[in-house]
Amino acid sequence: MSNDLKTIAVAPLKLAATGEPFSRRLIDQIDEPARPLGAKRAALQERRKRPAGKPHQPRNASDESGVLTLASRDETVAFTLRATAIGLVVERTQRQVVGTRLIQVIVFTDQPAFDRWCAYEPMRFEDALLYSHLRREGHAALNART
Amino acid sequence: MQRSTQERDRPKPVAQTCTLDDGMRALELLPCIGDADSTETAVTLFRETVICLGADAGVFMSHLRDDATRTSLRSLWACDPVWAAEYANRSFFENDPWLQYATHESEPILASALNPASTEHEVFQAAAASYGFASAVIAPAPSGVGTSRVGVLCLGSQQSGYFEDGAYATVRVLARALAMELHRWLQQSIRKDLLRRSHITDAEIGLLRHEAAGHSSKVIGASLKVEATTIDCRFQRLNAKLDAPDRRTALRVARLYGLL
Repeated sequence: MSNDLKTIAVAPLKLAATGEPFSRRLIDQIDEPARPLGAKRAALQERRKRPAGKPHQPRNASDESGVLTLASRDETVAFTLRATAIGLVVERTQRQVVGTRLIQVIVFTDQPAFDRWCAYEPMRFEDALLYSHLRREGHAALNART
Repeated sequence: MQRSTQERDRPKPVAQTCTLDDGMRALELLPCIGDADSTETAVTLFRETVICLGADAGVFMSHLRDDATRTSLRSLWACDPVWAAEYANRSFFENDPWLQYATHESEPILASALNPASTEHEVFQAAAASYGFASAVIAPAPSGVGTSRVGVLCLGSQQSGYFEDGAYATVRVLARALAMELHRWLQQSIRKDLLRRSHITDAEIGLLRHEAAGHSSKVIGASLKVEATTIDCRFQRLNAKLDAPDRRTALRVARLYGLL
């Protein structure tokens, strides 16, 4: 399916009978902080986003383009590894149920820099299996380049 | 004094003062960054431009307020990778004075001109200084949606007072251009990413345009010759695709990510 979206023009509509404009729905101002959700809706949204409620997904997945994704057990942290001509590109995504989602893209051109970064990675203690997998795949990608 | 192992292992600065040739090279690279077709290309060009500007380190961040409960902070790191790890581990993103500056101002500024407003800011600046930002230029990248989407470029030097001693005048201009090009690339990147993830259709974009025009389900239904309840169902599917709790938020997400 193509994702090249066509522009669909929407003309302002008017009531045929009265000629009066329709009562307009409220629209959030885009340049202002987002509208807070009501208590009920916020609770529902939080429940939907809770990892336990999500269907099981494979923690490690690799696609045809050689991009490898590794995720922690609770899916709060994920790493996407891409081996490129210049080195290893790592995209680290840190999610919270509510709050900031931090996405960091870092390029490693040599193994010592990758190892130094790994030494500071909290997954070393929180998810040792993921951590060892990350190191192994990172080393493999960097060694394949050299 | 004996230097710690971490300090010895840290990469040495590779950049030199920004010469005319470096400035011209940076100008050549800038359009390529904005049009980069992949993340790795963008980061590689970013690293090269940082060196051309005479800096030792560079970080670009784009802060997006998706909805009331979520914000996204996307960042490209061309610096000591341990700084990226520390930034995440110590949750500096919750109270980053450079990002806060960019949220309210559009002019580039020397980091030394920012007075720390809290102890957290002092801690952040001390940590940044130890990872290649002893002297730093902060270049905001404002957007057309106000504080809902803000970018900030931080260029750093390990040499204290480097940018304060005259390099700033040239770097300020190029840093502003680099910040805007990186912001442009990131905007295109997140749009493509959302389209790929959500599988949103042209018809659904049409629904969002109706919502943006303030049309109710009845009005949209009359326009498309379907029942209002059908429109409600379509909006529910659309909200799920955009991970939005309601259609007003879905519209906000669509506008922030450049779908409309």
